[in-house]
Amino acid sequence: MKRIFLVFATSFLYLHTHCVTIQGDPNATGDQTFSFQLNSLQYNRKNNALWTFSSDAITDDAIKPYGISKINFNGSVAIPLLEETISITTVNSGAYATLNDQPNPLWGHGIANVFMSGSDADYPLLYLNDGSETNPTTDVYGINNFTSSTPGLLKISPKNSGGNSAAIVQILGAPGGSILTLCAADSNPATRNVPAFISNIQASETTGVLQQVQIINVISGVLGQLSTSLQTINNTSTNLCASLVDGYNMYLGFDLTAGPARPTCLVGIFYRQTNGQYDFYSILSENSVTSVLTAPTSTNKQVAHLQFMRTSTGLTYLILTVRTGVQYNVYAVPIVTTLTNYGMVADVNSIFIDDNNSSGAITSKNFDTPLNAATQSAQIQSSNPAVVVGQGQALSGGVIENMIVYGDTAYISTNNGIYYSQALFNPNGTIFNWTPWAPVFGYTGVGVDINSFYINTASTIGWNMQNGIVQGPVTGSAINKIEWSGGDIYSGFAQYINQYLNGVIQGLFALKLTSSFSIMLATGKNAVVGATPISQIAPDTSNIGNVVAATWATDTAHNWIFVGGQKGLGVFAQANGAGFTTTPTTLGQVFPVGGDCNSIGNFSYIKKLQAIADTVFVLQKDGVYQFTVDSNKFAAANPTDLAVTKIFDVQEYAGKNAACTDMICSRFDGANKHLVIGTTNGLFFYDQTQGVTRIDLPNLQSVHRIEFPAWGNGLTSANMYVVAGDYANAQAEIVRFQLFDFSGAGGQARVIQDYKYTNTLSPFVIYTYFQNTFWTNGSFYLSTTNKRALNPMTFTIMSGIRGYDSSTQKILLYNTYSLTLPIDNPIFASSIVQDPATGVLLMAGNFGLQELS
Amino acid sequence: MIKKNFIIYSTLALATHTASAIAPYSFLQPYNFAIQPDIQDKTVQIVGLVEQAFDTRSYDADGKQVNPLHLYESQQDALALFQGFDSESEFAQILNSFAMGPGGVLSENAGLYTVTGDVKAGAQALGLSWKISHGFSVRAYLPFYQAELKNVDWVYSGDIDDIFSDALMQQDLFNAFAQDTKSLFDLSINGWKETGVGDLALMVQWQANFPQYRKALNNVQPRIRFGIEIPTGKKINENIIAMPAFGNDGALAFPFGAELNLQAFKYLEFKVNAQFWYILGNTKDRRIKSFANQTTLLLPSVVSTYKEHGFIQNFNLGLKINLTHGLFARALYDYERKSEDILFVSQNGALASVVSTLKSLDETTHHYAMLSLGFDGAVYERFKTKPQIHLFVRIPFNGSAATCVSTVGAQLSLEF
Repeated sequence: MKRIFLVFATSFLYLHTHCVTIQGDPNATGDQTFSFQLNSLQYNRKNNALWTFSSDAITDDAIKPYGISKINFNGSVAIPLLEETISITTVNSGAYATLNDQPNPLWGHGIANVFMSGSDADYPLLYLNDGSETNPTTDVYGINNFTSSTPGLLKISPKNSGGNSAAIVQILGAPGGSILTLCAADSNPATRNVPAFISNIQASETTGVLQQVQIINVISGVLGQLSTSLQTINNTSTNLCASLVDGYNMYLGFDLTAGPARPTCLVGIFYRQTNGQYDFYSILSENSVTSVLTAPTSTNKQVAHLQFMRTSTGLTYLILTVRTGVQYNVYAVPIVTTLTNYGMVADVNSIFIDDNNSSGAITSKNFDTPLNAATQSAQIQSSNPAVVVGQGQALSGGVIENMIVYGDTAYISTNNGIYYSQALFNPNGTIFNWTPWAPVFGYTGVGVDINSFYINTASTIGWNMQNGIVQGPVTGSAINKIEWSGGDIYSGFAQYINQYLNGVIQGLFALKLTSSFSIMLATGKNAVVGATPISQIAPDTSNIGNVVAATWATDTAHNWIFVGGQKGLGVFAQANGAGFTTTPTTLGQVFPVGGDCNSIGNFSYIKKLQAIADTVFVLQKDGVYQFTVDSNKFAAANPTDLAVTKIFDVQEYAGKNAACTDMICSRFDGANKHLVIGTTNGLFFYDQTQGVTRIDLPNLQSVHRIEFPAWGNGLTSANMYVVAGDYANAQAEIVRFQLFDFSGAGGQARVIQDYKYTNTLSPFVIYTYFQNTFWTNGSFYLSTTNKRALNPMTFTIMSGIRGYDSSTQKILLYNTYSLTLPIDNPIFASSIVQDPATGVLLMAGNFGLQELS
Repeated sequence: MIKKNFIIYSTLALATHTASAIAPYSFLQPYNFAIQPDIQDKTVQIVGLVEQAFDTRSYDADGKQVNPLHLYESQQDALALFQGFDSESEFAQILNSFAMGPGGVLSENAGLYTVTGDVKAGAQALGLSWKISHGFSVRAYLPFYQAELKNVDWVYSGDIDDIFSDALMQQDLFNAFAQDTKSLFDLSINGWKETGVGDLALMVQWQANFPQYRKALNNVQPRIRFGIEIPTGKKINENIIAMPAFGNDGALAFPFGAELNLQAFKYLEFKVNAQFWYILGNTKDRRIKSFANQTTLLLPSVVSTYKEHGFIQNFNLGLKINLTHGLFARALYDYERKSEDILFVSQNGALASVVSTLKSLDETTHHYAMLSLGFDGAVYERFKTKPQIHLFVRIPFNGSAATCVSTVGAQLSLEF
């Protein structure tokens, strides 16, 4: 007799519940870490710790030590670092002097801007938030040995060429380098021209001394080079909105209003020539075009953030947040990275592949030709989907507080949480589109204002920073840690899994049933557990035994959930065969009372189910079957014939010993039906109209997993990651494809050219061992090897990889890290899935659920 | 003509011996100093030895006492038996069909068997010694062995029906596991019974007695010997599990050693000896590891291999008490160590790094205690054949990677 367990949790939490809020100063209460607000969150690589810097002046002496605090990587407590007195080192005419036991100028003061310099990012440079229009701050401080027993401050007051002190505008630096650049303006408002000068300060890592080694005078006409019709640049610090240092070169993003004559480029670059002098030029060769990089005539735009994206395909893009009024957009433009015209916006078709060496191996890929804006402006207009990060999808609220790029993915922190968009690549490695903004890490929802965040790409552990956390009269801030835990983003989900699946999940599925409603479905022995953030359900599926597959299909009148596994195929249907509403909003509607899991068809050991509209595809070892949904087929009494047809016979295409291993639908709108089918002897493309074709794989011919890490609503093309594997020989590798899906004209899978040698097919990544699971969002490449294959179970993260390097396993040495889950003796992970509702990453296995939130 | 006016203080003996240098299950080599009877005043000595196991103790690599079939691994990996073949092979595709793709997770014990069995064994040997002159003798020994692996029980350790892939694997691979190993890999995983001769040992020995006219020390008797073991013994049958060779598995060996007996206070004898075996490498078809996870009892591939045998050292320390009327009692400690073997494979693309991980190649040791009672007929002039009878019990008390039998035994020697 079939049973159905239906219990709804009382929790209505939508945001993450695992959240570890760092414990901070003693005056902080509730969700606060600090009883004051923060300027920034910085990672100190040398100490493997996070540092926080107050933006508020602090009056309470007991709290002042927390003005700069440290959070150890594995810690949950903020450790205060400031002391009331400190030694201060200054430089005068090349000589430096240290005075001990001086009043600490940072004591109780807010900090305006911080840059973590030094090769290990352990040398903060900062200036204070005390300045005003008429009395700007003129001193820059470096913090030396701050966590040692002999901390010290280094102080410098940059001067312009006339010997006048400077109003500090912004501190910039090249990450990992010792050359620092300070952007400053004349401290005298009467003589303060538009950014008066840039002071190039060099920090000695041996002495710790800051010295001004170069003044880059930008008064005379430099900004004129930016645009002859530049209408205004405010003469306050807000005129320079964003900046980015690339080695010795510096990009500046402006807040500007273009003149009436023609549009104006928003971004310029100071390019350091071989003689040490700087050229300044606009990154767009022709400003008088309409583009995402230009402010239209008489229109104000601001560049809020600038970041590089060094893609996994080896190319470089500039990612920028542009604000127009209240509207924020994030754009991506290709950048020339060869010596001539360095930093200019590139013609996306100008890829130079450097393989001119003795081995013939590819050593670099660059765009090498500037865009001809007059004739190629379409490349940088918002109508080009390659340019618009997040597919231009509007975000509710829409204020982008911060933008960071990790790998192929751009993250934004907004006043409604953290979102990400992943680049999609053409076979030649250029970006052709972006995934829509999607929530990540569980920090989503109206009012979840994330000012900043940091993700450690070697561990997935991260932190976010929230200001404006009000507790009574105190407006403070919070630092929340993002980490793997057995937390329960869907309150009660884990409990149900323990209760009904004995804590063992054999499959985990995110079923997006409408554009705004999705459910998670965990499958196991004799039951499945469905969950939304506020409810759970555990229908009995003992007629299917061990369940490892799930999908849903629709005939536009009803939707049905299908599950498959050891004993065949089941459909959740009413006695009359009806499914559930096509516009569900609750779990109760998806699994209504009276809806049982009915066995249908004559299947066994189903490994995968997929559906396109009203067609369900069933993957067994011997092939792929399809049928269309119909209430009459699922009725408990006198059902009509399921009318199953076999559309792929594995022995016919892959040989007599072959078996099917995985499949994925490459089109979701039902106009044409495409499948990519993996077997133990080859990868195949099934097209409803054109039949079956084999897809070439570079090395291993046995397919383990097929994943779409990146596809978006309405896309007719996507990137597909195929894990070619061989459990029998403990091998695995990843091959990437771009899938084209031409409506009515068939589809095609084109391999992304992660070649080590030009025109020689090679995998994107070669692992040293078989990997059971694989997941990526473009930033991280997560994979696990189960204990049965390699004892103990391993959890691996790769980041910062490029195709032509990683196929030689260099990546395995330099970009691979081991992660540890907070559980004892994990045996297997069955799935890694990102919850579409919250963005929380979930790992399922014998340990139940682990979540990254 | 047999020369009788030999130097009374020395004997010369030649012995033939029927055991391997390392006898199976640590049976005594018939020429082991521990039980070797002296040739008294005759020229020819015939020795008969019977040793019967009444128990076995097996020690794993950590010295933990285990079942004889847990010597190298506590569980046998039936899944790994099918690993290591080309990706396109039938075996690889069978494995990949359930271990890959969605639902392709395997539980911790999937494909693992816990196998137990009992060893029953016995040994006999005949020896012939011929005393030559000046303390030299030549000796020949030929051992006979009976060995049986019985009560073999393969118990599946996994949960057959709790995990999708486990269930599928069971259906596709293990429903008829024993039949499949036989038909696919020519490997019987059941019990067996084998009998046969061991390696023929031919030795030259010199010994002498040096009387000491002191109150405490009465006599010093050194013995030195060397010889050759001819590979007449039954070799390992690669198509059954856990069978030991009845010798050196087809290899020629050179045993050599020395002993010092010190007689004190007329009634006591202290014995210390060292014996060594250098075994020449030999080429033979052997089961090898072709994949790192494979376990010793379930190896799929039989290929021609050259084996460089480890050097063997055996040390005994004993105390003998001469009682009355020719009776004596003796206690003896026996330690033996065989260094690690090395396999060389030159075919099938076998990876040396994988082949070398076979645990049965690892070093083995054993520690034995031996107690015996004996009668030496040499004290009775009327016994022309100078019978010597030796009853003993040997108990292993420690070791590593070795199955050692506990035995009772008897040895009878007669001189002519």
